Amino acid sequence: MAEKQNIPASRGKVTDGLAVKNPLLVNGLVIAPAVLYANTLENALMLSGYMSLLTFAVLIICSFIPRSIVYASRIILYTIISAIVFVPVYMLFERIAPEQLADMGIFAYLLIINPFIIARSEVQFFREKRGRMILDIFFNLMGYSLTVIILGLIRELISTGGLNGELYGIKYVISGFGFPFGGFILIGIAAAFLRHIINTVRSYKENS
Amino acid sequence: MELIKTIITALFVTAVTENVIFSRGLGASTLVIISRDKRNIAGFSLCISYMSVFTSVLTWAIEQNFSDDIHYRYYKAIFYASILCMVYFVSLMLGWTFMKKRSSTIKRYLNFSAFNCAVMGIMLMSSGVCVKLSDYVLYGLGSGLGYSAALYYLSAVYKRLYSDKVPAAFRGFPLMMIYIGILSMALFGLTGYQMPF
Repeated sequence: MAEKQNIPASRGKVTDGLAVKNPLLVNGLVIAPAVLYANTLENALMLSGYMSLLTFAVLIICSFIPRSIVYASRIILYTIISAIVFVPVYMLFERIAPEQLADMGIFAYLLIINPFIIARSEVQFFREKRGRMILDIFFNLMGYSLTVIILGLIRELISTGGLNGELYGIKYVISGFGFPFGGFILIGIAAAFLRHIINTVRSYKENS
Repeated sequence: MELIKTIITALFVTAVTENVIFSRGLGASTLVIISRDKRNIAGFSLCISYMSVFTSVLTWAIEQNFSDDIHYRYYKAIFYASILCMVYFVSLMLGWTFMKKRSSTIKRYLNFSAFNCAVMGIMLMSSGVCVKLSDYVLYGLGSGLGYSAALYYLSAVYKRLYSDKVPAAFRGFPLMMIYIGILSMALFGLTGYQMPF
């Protein structure tokens, strides 16, 4: 029996995923790899590319699954499809960046059940028309990737004093930012900073 | 006596120093949602511990039979996803058959815990560190308990993190991340970080 779908599709601009509804800093999605793995610029770039390709492909394929199928069966299908799509994506990255893929460790597998596929798809993406859905997925993944890359860059600079092994003469480094707790704290600060900017812009627009 | 010592040590390590949330951030997204309501803690903790134990047992079975295959890394994800789906489906059926009155609550808990990065993460990590079936069971149980502990720590301060007294920019999610970071830092100290001088 199909479940009732009373919740309307999300409204707002299609580009909201970049900042106003940023998946990482506003909605807190896919935190683990951002905290643990993306502690350097290189790792952040790898995570962004791998995660974006896998998630985009899975979401596009899963969008063809009829919503008349019960939720429990749909979610099982999403997971299985994701695990199947994982194989070519993994093979591709094994050719492009084998060392970086090996460094990803469990996160290479873990991303098959990331919240974009399991949760966001149901409450947002698959309630939209296909054209808008594709753009929405694109901007959400773009928002996540940009955030992870910026945070990875900042973390590497703060924790090692350089980028990709090249030091820039930064005298005081805080190595703790390379650890998971540093990642949590930095995400917290970045989320507060983004919210402050959004609130400031919003109040400026209302006043003017 | 030796067995009891081993069990206590394994549970302590997996639940505290190697806590899935504070050491790896696994399942943090779900944790943020679940901790909103204190009534969820007991049910969700039970559900995630149950899921982590049963999926770990099945992971052991898979690892025993297939891990030597040279192409295992490609279809490992399919196996693990199948384990998750199977345990989820069987649990749903059991809940629906034997606890009909509570089946909607069970379904809600299962939806949140089955496809949670923490459970999948526990399966993946256990395959890397465990050998015997008992190791897998202890790892699953300890990690499930660790996730439950993290859920409790977070729900205990949830209202304060969302209080009006907190500056608007930090209220809620940003402060929650900083709070988890500080707890993570405290537990990290327990594992024995050596100063560079």
